[in-house]
Amino acid sequence: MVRLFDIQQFKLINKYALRDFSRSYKKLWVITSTLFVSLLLLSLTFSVKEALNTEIASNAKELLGGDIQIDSDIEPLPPKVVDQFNALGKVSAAIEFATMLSKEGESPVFTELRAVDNNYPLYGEIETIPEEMANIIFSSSLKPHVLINESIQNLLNVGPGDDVTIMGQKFEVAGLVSSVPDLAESAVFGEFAIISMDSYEQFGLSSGGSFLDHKYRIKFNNSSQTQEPETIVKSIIAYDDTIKTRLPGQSGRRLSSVIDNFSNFLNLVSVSAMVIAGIGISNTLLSFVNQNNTSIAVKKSIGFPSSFIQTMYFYEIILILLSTSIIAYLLGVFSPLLANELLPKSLGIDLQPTFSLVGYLNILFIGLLVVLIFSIPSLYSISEIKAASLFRNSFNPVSLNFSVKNILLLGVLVVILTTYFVNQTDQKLYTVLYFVAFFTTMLIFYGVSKLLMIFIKRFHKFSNNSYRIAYRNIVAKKSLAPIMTISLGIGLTLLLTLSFVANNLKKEISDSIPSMAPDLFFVSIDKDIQEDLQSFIEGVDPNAEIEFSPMASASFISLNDIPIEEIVSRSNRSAWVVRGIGEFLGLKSQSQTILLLRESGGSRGMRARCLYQWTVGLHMTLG
Amino acid sequence: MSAAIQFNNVSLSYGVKDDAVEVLKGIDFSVDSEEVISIVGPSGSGKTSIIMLASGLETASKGSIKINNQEIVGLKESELSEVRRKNIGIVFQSFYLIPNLTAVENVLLSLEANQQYNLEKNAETLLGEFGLSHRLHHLPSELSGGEQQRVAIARALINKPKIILADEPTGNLDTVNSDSMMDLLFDYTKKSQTSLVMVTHDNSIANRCDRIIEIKDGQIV
Repeated sequence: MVRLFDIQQFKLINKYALRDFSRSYKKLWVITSTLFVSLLLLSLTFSVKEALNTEIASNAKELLGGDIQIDSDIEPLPPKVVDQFNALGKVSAAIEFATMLSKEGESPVFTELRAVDNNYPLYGEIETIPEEMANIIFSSSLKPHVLINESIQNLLNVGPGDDVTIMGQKFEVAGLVSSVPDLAESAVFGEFAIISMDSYEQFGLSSGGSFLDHKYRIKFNNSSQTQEPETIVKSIIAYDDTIKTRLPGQSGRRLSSVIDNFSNFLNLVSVSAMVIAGIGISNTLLSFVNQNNTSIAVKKSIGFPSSFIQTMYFYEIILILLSTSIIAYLLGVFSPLLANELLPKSLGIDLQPTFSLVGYLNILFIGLLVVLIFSIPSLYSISEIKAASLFRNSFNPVSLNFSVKNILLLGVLVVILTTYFVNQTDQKLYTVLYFVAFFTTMLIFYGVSKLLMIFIKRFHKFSNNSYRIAYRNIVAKKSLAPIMTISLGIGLTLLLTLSFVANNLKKEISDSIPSMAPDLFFVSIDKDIQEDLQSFIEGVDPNAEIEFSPMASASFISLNDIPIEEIVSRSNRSAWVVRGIGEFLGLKSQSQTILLLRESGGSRGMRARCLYQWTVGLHMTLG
Repeated sequence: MSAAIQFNNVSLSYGVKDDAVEVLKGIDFSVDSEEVISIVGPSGSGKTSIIMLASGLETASKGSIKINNQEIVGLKESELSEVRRKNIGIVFQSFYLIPNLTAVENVLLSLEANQQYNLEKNAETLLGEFGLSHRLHHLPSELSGGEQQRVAIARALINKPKIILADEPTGNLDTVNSDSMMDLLFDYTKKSQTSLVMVTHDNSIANRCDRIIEIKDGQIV
């Protein structure tokens, strides 16, 4: 019996293992490299995920742009409410909406426009190219300024000093936005531009369409006592349940959740890669045992029990695991630096390598479980080696040992691995399903290998000796064919699954865009670009119904002398049509037009049209 | 004199039912301590099987085998390993040195299996007695056949076993090497009061033993 706590015996195991390393490293190289690559994959995904979450957690306020954000959608908050906010701290108001941004001679681009006041940003700063151009948009001059992002620059071929047109008003490009602090709220992946709130109001951009989004961010006077001010803010806006608030943690949580899901997916893929690598390790170990058949038999004949020899090889594998996991983890720790280079600069994300012992132990533990699962059947085959064969000079190769005891042990280890992994993910059910599917696929391919062997046995009349030897190798009792079929099958299945997931994801996104988009919406545009926009839309969707109408900005005050607030509550999803800064169709005296877009057969569009017909038939007062 | 090895009605067969091959049929014999015995007989008669059973590397189908009065039939693998470590040294026809261990390391292996550590000097002295002091740190691939067999004998003797089992120890050696090897083995067993059971085809070697057991068709003739 091996006594691991016997220091002399441990020294002996250590001595033999190290000697075997130094003299048989070529045989162990395959195991080392396989283990290293799979651990590196795991370490990379864990490190990048950890660094991203740390970055999000430490920059939660910057990501939100304040200690709290109040979102009142299409309507601005009443001035008295904003005054109450001002008493709590510094307030920054912003309006975001979608509009067209154009340059003479170029097709206009659909842009997320953000109008911000002088207090923006409350945390962090806007980084521009050239540097420090952010303040220019707030300077009063005859021609207003706009900051555009790189995407607009590329699409319109514009740069600092060039003119662009937004809703009929010419703006001079002050510079390019390279990053904004409130990443969580920014449309950084599309086209977006920033103007000042003064410009927005001065040049009548307030008829922005149905996508107006008013946001207020507050930086409390005493940030260390944020709990109380938050409660006060919530009580101030309690009069309207459509007004939403967001806190820094909530802002990052969405991004964090997306990152978590993505990294969990990558982790599952890397664990699958580890499992496939494990099958390779199992094969290599088995051939290693068979190559050392004589040496093992000699050790047994001298009086070493199988358990000692098994422990020695286990110890070697653990040493390999320890050394490869340390190198893999250290490389993984620095992977955020590489990720920084690959992430768009506009994200403003600066990932930092963070070493954590828990992180390393996490990698080591998963590696240990996989190594144990796949080395047990190989190394337990050592007990099948007969020292008596030394007298006969004939050695039978051993096969994987799947005794009842081993199967139970493997079952426990697989359950521990699965449970450990599932506990680390938010999507527990999906992770369990993934593992169930994975192990079921392994069983299916085991069945396939057995069927193949039955099939080959039926058609085994080979005239060629090489074919005959190949046939015997495949159908032999201790053949490697099943394990090779399983590893190949699992590998190909994983590859195909990833490919299907990628294709379906693309398809899902492209299919879901029309259904996610509203059936009918309107956008204010300058009438000069009406033809350009029409041809652009028809190019994208020939079936789209487009209706251009002049527009005036107004709002209902009363209907049949009844105040509009009494007829349409704020919680009504169509309240913005009749309240606030509703835009009306059919008033031909205005310079701007309103564009109605409706998908073919869209029922919501029909309702909007009915609503309009209903209103023109009534006696109404416009404000 | 007490018996070092005792076989009582020992049978050995491989396979099952109709396919069963009976290698040994009711073997009875004993080897006294310090006795030197040779087992002779034609190929396939079952000579080596007797050595395999005596070493505990093969399990008897029937009968009783005692090593220094300890019954070994029915013992677990770990218990058999212990019996071997404490009582038996084995010399194979094909030497079977571990290829990635040097001569001295191969000898030390036996000591370490017996949980005797840091006795490198003992191994070096014994190899020196066998004329291999200049080959201590050579790998088996760097040794001649005769040198390899001397290392193998040293490995079997280093633990001062009570019984040495040798399966045609000179089978792979030329006459000169064979003679010197047997001188070495006989001298050592006499000096250390060890029992020796040796399978051989060589009558001249068999005649040097205290007793000859002849086997034919799995039975003692």
